[in-house]
Formats: sequence, C-alpha cells, structure tokens
Amino acid sequence: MPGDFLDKASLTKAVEAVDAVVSTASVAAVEATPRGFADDRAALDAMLGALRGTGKTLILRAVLRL
Amino acid sequence: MAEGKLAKTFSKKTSLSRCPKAWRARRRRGSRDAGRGLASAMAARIQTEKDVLGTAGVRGMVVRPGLVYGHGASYDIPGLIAMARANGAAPHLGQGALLQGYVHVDDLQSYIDSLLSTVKRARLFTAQRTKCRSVTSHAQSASLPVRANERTVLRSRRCLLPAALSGSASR
Repeated sequence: MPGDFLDKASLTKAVEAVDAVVSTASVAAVEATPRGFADDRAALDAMLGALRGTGKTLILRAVLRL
Repeated sequence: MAEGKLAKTFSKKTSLSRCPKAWRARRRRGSRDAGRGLASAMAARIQTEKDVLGTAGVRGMVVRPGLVYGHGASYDIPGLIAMARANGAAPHLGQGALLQGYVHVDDLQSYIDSLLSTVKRARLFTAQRTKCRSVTSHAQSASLPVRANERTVLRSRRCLLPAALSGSASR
C-alpha cells in the first residue's frame, strides 16, 4: 500500500485499507529536529484517527534517539 | 597512534581541571540545557505511547526495542567507532553505567509477528536480544579498532545528543 508518511490523506487511506499497522517510520529518528518530532506526532494522530473505533491493531515501535 | 600521543589526547579530552573557568561554566550550562531538552522529549514520547495504548477501539501495542542492528545502514556502532577514530577512544555519557541492549532487525520482526497473532489487548513490550551491557562497555568495544586499549572518553550529553534535544536547535 503506497503512501506518504507526511501526507495525512494518503496515510489515512493506507491505514483504512489494512487490518493492522506496524509503525516503524520516524522522521525524528533521521532528522532529530523539533519539526521532525512534530511530523512524527502528526502522523501518529492521523493513524489513530483512522483506527479509532475499528478494533484494528496498531503496533508502535517506540523511538528515542540519544 | 603512539601511546604517548594517545595518552595526551585522552587527558586533553577528559581533564576538566585544565579547562578555563568560563569553559567549565559553559559545559555546566550545556549539561543543564541538555537535561531539560531530554526531559521534554521523553515526556512527549511517553505521551505518544499512552495515546497508542489508550485510544478507544484500537488494539494498541508499544514495542520498545534495544538498539536495532542488521541489514542496511546502522548508526550506533559505526558512529561510536567513528568517534573513537576521531578522538582516540570512544565516548560515553556520565559515569557510563547506563545499561544498553541490542536486537537484530530480523528478531524484532519475528517478535512483532508473534505479538500480532497472540496479544489481545493493549500492552507495552520491550524487545532486545543481547544481554544488557553498560554504555562504558560498549564504548570500550568500539575503542578496540583504534587500539585504545579499552580506554573511553567522557563526553557531556550536549556533545552526543541531537541538536533538537540539546536545546541548541532553536538558537
């Protein structure tokens, strides 16, 4: 399912089309800037918004680079 | 690198007593800024995990892996070795007692596959394959390629953290 992690519409469409999401992508892991962290948070909010109430699975790979 | 030159480099990098007062004060300020930036980033990450675990109607799970290694590009070990080459020995933070484990990317994938098929409700997991070792121990291993004889270099958090976490990104 192709899509863009930073494009809410395409991310939502991709999440709605699958049974489970394993989220390993992280902008902040590559570019540890405030914007990178904000992009990660926006993507997660988009995924949670699309999954809420569906009973589908979301596995988040936690990331904190030191 | 000759033993004498290496010892000189090591001493130069670690001896705060040789630093001018202003430099020592700057390092203390930098450490405090790094601490605040790290605390803020940690709080945001923890809130993210809570949101995944607590969203209604979602079977949310959070996996906290150790440092992931395996196929493709890798940051941590090559980065440590590069810093060892640049400084004569690999760095670690503070006393270096923090424990750190690793997990191969294939093992992590298998673990996540098993979670998908076996776990029924929201939960938090940790995933690491290797026995935890102190960051000092990892730094000692990374120092081996540069023949540093297990010596390591004490570095401040500010030196190792990404700019966003050290509080310097917005300046």
